[in-house]
Amino acid sequence: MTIKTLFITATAFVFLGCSAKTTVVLLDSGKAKNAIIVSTNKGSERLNKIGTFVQLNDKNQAPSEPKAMSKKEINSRYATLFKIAPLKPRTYIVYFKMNSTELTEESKKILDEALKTIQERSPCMVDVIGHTDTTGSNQANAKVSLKRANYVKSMIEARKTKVLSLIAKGYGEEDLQMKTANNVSEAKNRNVEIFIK
Amino acid sequence: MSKLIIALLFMGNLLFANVGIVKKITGTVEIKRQGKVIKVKKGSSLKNSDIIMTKSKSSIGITFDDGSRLSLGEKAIFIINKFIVKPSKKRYKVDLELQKGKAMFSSGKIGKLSPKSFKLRIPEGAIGIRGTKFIVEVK
Repeated sequence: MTIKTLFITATAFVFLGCSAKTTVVLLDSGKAKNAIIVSTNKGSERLNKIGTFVQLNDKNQAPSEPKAMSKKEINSRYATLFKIAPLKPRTYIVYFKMNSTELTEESKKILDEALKTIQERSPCMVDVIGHTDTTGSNQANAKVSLKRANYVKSMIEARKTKVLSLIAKGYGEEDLQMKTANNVSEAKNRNVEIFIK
Repeated sequence: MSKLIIALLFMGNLLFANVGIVKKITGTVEIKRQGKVIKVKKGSSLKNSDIIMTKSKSSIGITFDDGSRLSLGEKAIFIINKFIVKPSKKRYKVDLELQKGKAMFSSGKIGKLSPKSFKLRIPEGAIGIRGTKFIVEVK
């Protein structure tokens, strides 16, 4: 789960007084909590309501009080920015059978979906991150997780899709999806994350 | 001596690593890198210290290594001072700068893992982000 903060900032030169004027707008990130802090030498303003904005005129002046900007105005003033925004990155998680680099049946289908997304999003960057559960030693798990990641990496390479950077990493039992005690066999933790961006 | 070389290599890695790619582009967009001006296209890589400049009626959409996304409108000047998000090494530092134009930013992993390591400079000051779990308010 990534916490997203979206904002628009616009710097425009205003002829009146020849001062640079900046507007900062907080946008909807799809998350309940979402905030930015805008500061100058003279103070700071916290924006945590979607669609509110502050304006700045000088580094030695505090930002203006937050005000609301209508959705309609945001959409028309900053239409170009929405149009050129890249798609949100996607994460797919595939699971492995115990002690192996073999995917579960369901995960084979997920891998196919991930490969399709990579093709659609080309050119893109892909991180393949392997994880294990907590059975076995840390060192062995670091190895297994990297093996799993490399296996998935090879599947991606086999498709000959243009990927700008394809990196495989093994996190072992360092970053568990499901927190467990040591020596717990947990299917959810035997996975590879495919982060397509 | 060997330590110095290792340190230099390490810094070199950070300096020359790709920190993002161009996903979408319209019109003409250039980057200034180590004194040279390069025209960018879809799929071009971006590096630390790159200065991105969009011409009139031009725009660009960039995805960073951590999944953060940036849109720039026409006649914008934007600098990637630093973009380092390395969860495995717990190293985070994002320092961006909008000198002119319009930009939209949507944070990726940095917003979740280390929001206080994020800064977007603007001529009058700076913008910081705060994730849900780590509210820090400095007055």
